[in-house]
Amino acid sequence: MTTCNQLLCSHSIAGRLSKKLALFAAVVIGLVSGASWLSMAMMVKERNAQEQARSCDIVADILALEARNGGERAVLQRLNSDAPTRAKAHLQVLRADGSVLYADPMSDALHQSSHQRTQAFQISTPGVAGGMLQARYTMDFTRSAELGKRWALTLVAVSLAAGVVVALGAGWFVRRSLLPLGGLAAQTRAISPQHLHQRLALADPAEELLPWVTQFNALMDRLQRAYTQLEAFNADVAHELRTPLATLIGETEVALSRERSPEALRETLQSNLEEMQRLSALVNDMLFLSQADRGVTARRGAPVSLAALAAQVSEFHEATLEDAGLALRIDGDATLPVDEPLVKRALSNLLGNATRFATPGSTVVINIAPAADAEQVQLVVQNRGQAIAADHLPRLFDRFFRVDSARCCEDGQHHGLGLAIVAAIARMHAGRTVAESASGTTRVGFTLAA
Amino acid sequence: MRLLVIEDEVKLAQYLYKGLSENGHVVDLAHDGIEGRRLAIGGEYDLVLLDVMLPGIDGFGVLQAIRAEKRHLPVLMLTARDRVEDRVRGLEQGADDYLVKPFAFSELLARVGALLRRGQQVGAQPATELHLADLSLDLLSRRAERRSERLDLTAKEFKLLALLLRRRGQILSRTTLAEQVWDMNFDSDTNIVEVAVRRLRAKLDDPFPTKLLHTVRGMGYVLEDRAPS
Repeated sequence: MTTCNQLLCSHSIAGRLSKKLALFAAVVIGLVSGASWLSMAMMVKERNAQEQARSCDIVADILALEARNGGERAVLQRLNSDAPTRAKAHLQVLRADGSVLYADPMSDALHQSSHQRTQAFQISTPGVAGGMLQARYTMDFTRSAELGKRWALTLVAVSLAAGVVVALGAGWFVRRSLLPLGGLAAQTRAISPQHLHQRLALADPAEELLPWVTQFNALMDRLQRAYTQLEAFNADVAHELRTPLATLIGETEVALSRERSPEALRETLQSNLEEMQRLSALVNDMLFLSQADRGVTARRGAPVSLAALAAQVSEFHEATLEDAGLALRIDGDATLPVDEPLVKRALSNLLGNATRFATPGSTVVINIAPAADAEQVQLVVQNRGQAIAADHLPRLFDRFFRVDSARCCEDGQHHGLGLAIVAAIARMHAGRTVAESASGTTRVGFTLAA
Repeated sequence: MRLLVIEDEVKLAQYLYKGLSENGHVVDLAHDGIEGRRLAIGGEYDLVLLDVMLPGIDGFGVLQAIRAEKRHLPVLMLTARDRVEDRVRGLEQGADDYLVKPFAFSELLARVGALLRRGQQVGAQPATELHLADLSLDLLSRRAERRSERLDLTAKEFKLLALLLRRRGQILSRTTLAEQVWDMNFDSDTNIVEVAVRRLRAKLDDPFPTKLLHTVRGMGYVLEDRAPS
């Protein structure tokens, strides 16, 4: 707003528009008026000149006639007798040698007038010495000039008035058209965390506002989803922390409530320690997720073979896989700069999941292949087993989401953040998650941007 | 070994003092950065445990002062902030290792031991054969025997047993084992290490009357001969 024209500057659209429209209307009407005034003035000037020429012709005819009948005397007499008819004009007649034969007395009005026009002409008079007379006929056009001036003033006034009318009218119309915006603001104000489900609606849909309203509502949908998720997450966290804390407090209280042998106390402490380590792991995982949420990205090292990483992770899982009676195969490979510990962690979580849900005796497959869009590499762990319902698939990577809570957590080791961590690691590598389940084969994994 | 613990949280400092003293170290405590810096530079220590968030001067400031005076004094940093920049900054400024709170005490003990050994074992020949009771491991031929009976171990099981044997008597946490044996540098939330240890135990201990591999609940595993000799 540094170079702000005072006249055009306003903070409201209506004000700005009406001012600009007013100026625009005034300029356009002014131009039209100017042009019409000019053509009118030219017409008047031409008509005046014609009138003067006609008068000159009449004078010439009369004087020529008089000269033929009575010579110079008759001419002079006629000029004197006709003088009153030329109240607003002035006639001067000269002989051929240039001496003045006759001149009308100079009237004051004519003397002062600046709008006069003189026409000189010759009259052929064979009966007069020299055979001709010269005449100068001056006419006063002050009146038509004044008319022109008044006309011009009228036009200027009309232009300005039109500007003002347009300004007021435009302001009113614009304000009226923008009224829905005020309504939208009121509706937006009414949306609060308690009323997150409310959406904006337009009583009279306007093409310009509709995309804005649609986008805003879509944004609100996303926000509401995130908010609901966050609330659920908080509740889940509280629940996850409360259960082990209750155990810890209760166990400790019971242990202290009477004399115990050192062995019994040691037993309690050991049990407490296990519980606290579970808590600590949970808190660490939540911190990890919150870092990913804050937008921390992966620290990529030199390019590595993903199959080699997968082989390392499967060595780590060798014992559990064998325990579950599962075979493992790694298909495909890709070389990519990734954050090795993170990718290993994601793969380990996926493999752990697959181990728990795979049908005993089947083969778990780690598949490394270019993703469908070819920009990314897809890492998928595939296992045979009970299919996951289609409506559960998109929620698989949600925090604390469990397809079947009874089935998965009997050992208390799995707090339901494993796949959320996989999703976070994918996000840190600009990738996304993959989950499919059909005809007894479940494929869960993620992609990595190259 | 003389250790200096610079930690302002009194309860944590007390438990570090107790735990480290009981493990054979002489421990001095400093509760703020200024005192910590004075002790670290003026005293004779083999290792400094340094908290990052300290009153007076923060851990990075103390670390800088230590590095300016004593280039080879090992420093193990402790912090509640698990931010990558912090970790990088600490290591760049010359910290030898880094532990994020909350940490298991056994983990801390292992790191302290590793740092202290690093200072001493320069030039010492690493053993190629390890023994404990009737167990013997040949690291070169990768043979494990008990009572002259060969144990049929997988590569990782051998590596796991070798680590436990090299650090006999020390409790090794699941995290440490996952890190050292499988190079998995994260807290795995599954019982993978447990299963691996169970399978090792089935081959190592189950056929024999004396048990060597013991579980310390909530802390980890230890390999030692507990039989009265």
